Amino acid sequence: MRSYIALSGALLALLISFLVLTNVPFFSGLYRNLGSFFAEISGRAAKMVDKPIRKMANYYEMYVDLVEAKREVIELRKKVELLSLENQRLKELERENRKLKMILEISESMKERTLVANVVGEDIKSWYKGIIIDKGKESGIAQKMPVICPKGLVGQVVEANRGSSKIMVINDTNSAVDVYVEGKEIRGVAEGTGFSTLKLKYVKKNEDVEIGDTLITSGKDGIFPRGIPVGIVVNVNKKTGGVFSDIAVVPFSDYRLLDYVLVLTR
Amino acid sequence: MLEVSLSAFYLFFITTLHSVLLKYFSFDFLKFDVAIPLLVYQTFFRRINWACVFAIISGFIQEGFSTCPPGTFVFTKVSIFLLCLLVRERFFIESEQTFALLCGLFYILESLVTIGLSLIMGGLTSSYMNIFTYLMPNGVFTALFSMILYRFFLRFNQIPGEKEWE
Repeated sequence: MRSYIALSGALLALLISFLVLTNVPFFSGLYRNLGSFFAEISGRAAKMVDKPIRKMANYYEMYVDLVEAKREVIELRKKVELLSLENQRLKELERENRKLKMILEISESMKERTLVANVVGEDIKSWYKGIIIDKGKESGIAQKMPVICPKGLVGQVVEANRGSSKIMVINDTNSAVDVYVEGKEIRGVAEGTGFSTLKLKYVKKNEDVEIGDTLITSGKDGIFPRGIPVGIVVNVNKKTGGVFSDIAVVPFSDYRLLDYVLVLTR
Repeated sequence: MLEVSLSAFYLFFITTLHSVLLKYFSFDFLKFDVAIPLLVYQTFFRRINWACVFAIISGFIQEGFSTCPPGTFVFTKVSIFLLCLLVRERFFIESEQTFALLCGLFYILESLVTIGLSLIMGGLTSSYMNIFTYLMPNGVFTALFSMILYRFFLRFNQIPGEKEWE
């Protein structure tokens, strides 16, 4: 009897989740409320857990710096121990300062209103490429807002909760960005592959795309403003069948190394 | 009820830690599934009604930490629960190795369910290579994690000598 209850419950859950996946409005609406409740808690929990881990990581970095400093001090026969420790601390501050300055510079140069957010987590599945940031609706973030870093485009907001948001990065297989080859006005679509490279699609074989060309956003997809650097062309294959070239692109931003991102809130 | 709540809390805690740590040690092969061993444990050794509830909750928890389309993980976790129910009648877990083997296999099955779902939906994921590439490494890491978990359950005497038949 019990197994029948479990079985029917499971089949019902399976059916509802399938209807949500197919975007049936009634079920999607209900599910969105429940899902965002869990996502909200997840975001806040990630923010909480990230704080001590970030501190520990900073201490570890400082520890590594200290070990290096110690070696230097031994080499200098411990004459400048205090000085070199102070120097290390300053280096750490300078590195942090440089990072923040770059973000500030890019923030001032953008016409759109920008918001700096901390990256607090990463997607737990290798199938999807995404990050979690510590700012959400409370800070004015909404779905489909572009996310950048000092090096270039990172991705877009796919879910904004009250205190946190989920970002789909451009490497995700569901991501597609309308781009121009800089200086050549050749247009294409940079699609994620799920790996570290992107694929530049819909560029005809007779068009002059070369290794080393840089891609910038075209501004024509209605999500990303024009001129944000996307990546660099690393391979062009025109020997494949069909009308279009097979082009591989390495994105300028590596989402795995990000501590801060900028959200263009328009 | 209490056991499912504890398992859900434990899953939530581990998943939060997993997501945050992945930011610092970002390797795709380390993105193993934390929920599958708990789900297999619940279905095989505890009451299946609560295991069904746990399957749904674990789907929601995992979706909270992923950019997947809504409904994906609830669908895959409930599918794994149903497969577990099928296997439960024919398979006996007597050691951590069999538990790990089963968890690894269920991870692979979950990936295949996701690919199947993608094929049906058309456009959920455009590249199946991404899922296939990490299928084996993530399956192996899920199995290794489940061995640790099995020892944990054994230490706290949570695994009965005989399977609880309904």
